[in-house]
Amino acid sequence: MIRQPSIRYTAILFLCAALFFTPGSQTDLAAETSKPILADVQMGTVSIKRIGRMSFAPNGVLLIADIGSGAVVAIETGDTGPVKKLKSRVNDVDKKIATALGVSTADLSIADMAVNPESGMIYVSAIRKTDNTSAIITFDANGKLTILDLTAIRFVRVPLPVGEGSQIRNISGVEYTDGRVLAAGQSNEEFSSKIFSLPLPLTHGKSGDAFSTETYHVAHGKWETRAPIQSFIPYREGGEDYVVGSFACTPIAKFKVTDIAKDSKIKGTSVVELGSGNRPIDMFTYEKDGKQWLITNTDRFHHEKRPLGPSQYWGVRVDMSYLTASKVNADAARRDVSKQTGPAGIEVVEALFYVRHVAKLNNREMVVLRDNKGAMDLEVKELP
Amino acid sequence: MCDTYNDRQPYVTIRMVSLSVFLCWCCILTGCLDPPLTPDAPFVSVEHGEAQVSIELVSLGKAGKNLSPSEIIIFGPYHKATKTITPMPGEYSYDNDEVPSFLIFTPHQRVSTNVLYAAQELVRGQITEYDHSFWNPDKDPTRILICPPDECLLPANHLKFYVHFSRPMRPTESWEHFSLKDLRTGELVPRPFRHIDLWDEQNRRLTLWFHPGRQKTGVNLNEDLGGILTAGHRYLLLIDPQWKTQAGQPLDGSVKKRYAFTASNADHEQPDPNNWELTPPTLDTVEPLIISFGEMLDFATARKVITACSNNEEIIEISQQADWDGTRVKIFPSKPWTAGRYTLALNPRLEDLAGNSLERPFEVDLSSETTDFAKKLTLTFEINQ
Repeated sequence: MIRQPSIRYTAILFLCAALFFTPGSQTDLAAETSKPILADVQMGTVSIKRIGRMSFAPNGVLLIADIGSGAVVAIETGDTGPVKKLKSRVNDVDKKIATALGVSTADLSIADMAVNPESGMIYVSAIRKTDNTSAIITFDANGKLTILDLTAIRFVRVPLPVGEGSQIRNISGVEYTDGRVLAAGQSNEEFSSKIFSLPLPLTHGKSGDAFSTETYHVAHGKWETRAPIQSFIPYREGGEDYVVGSFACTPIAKFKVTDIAKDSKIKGTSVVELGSGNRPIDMFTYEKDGKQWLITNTDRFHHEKRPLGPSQYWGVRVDMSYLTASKVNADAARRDVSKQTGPAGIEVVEALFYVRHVAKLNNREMVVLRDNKGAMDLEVKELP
Repeated sequence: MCDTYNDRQPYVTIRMVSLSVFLCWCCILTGCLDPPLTPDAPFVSVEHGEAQVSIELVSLGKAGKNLSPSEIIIFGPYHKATKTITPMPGEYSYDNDEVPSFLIFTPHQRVSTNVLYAAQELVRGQITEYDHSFWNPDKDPTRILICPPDECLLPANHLKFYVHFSRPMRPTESWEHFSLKDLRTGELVPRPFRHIDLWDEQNRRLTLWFHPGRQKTGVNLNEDLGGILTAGHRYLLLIDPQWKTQAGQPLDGSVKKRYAFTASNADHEQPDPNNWELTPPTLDTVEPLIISFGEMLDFATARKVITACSNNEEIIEISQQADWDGTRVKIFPSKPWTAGRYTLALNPRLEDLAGNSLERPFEVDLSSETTDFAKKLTLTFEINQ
């Protein structure tokens, strides 16, 4: 399980990264290994109480949101490449995972999907409902399913701080960025959503240095409320680090990472409005033809009454220049809900219809976990 | 149910098959697919903590003939993710010494109720799980308490319910097990709940949120569809009776009781300690100080309303207990009250049912000239000699 990459191997990895991953505004993992990621690494069984969102940090470090215990768990998968992407579509992924976990699909809940950009390996987090067991399942280039052995693994666990006696009970995202790991979470008693900044290296059992900040959101320039973040990505613009987040009520907003300080309050600036009734799920950015794009997929609230396409699950790509637009909040760009595209730079992505989870493979391709009329399929699709 | 297969009588096969058919039907009826109950899989029975595992020898065919008993069947704690069994030490025997039909394994140790066990027939690898909670479900229905209590008047911008269960529940996609019916229109309210699982550590208290996009003024869903609740309408909060506890027991009859409430006008006012009523305790007793809020506040934050209690700068250790409807909180001292002037520090996060806190309203109108919303955050009371 644990493999230490040789210097030559790492060099090849960096070369591959340089060739295939054009430096983008979102964090490029292979290029950012200047700081150690983990410290006081434990070896043994990692207990995950209720697994949720996942993402990758460099060197095959998988960041996991343990919702059940309000903690971020990082494991060294040893999966550091080379890149071998999924060769062909894997059908009935949910049935295969359920069978591997000894239950029916009715007793399986798929929480998230992440792709290791250094290897192309696909990781799915799932919960077996019958006993609330969390599991991580991988799919390799041949579509071979493996249950990740969590009983003999190197890991660290970083509990998110308890604030005002109210523990975090949902973690809506965990993402690596240069110099820190960011997590967004909510308590089960207050409406507020907090962003936690966990400094590197992530140190087992240490949460004292975590900073949290409350997020507020300005709706239509008139009303301001606390707001839960649904999904987010780190983003760099003009030498500044930002968090680009989507709220449960759809608008895409950005925050300055430097504003994140202990118990502070920051306000998001709405930059794009995708139209009402959509719950954003995943986000990532990529570069094409010298232009930065943001991909996000959503679950459409209004699908039955006002369908946008064939499925309640749909996705859009947004020209990242909207994030630097001067028109924000009440004047932020709004997707034209009557059309598939428009205004310019906001486009519905056909390949994201029916897609429950999407993750970036590279600047040309994404991996989609698609709800194919009740059965889940896994496939590599070209980015638009 | 599980002790019928240990008596080694000649008609045991008929009984086992009948039992298997019966249990299969139980599984179908309850929607539970495991443990597998094929007639030739290992059969596990437990009585008073003592387990016995048996396998029908004829089902093994020729492959089982030259094997020792320990090469045929094992039993022990089961790690389901890796499908590995840690074999328990025990004794092997047969149901009949001359013409055996069954090989029986009896572990030396009693089984624990909180451990998943499994038996494995090693010839073909068939595994039978034994989950104590599945086989011995508590017959009492799961009790459900919802906070605020039913038959309350809730503001039209009400935010959340705390749903308490007497047993741990399966915590995923919890919102799918609830629906909201408008009794004025007779229609179900479309997608009223936020899609999020917010449980306590034991999966026994769920925080069920109304969809924030519809409850917040100026947010797109609120503007497009309006709020979830209409003032003056009466509603039923319905829970799916097929929702299962962690042990796999459907709620069934537990949800027959109707949870009804009526919506009143939206509440945009912050709670104000100036309007609270304090009932001071009696000297030299541990009777509680009672704070009456004059309105229903959020139960979870109401029980943490006091962050510190002091008597002339001496910190007093206290405990707090909120009423279910969030209208009062009782403050108990760890030692009898002494005479003096007490100061209570208030939690600025204390919220009402619509999310307005002592700190600020849930929604702030940015066109308003008011910028400082904080209410007073201390209370005082005296106990005289």
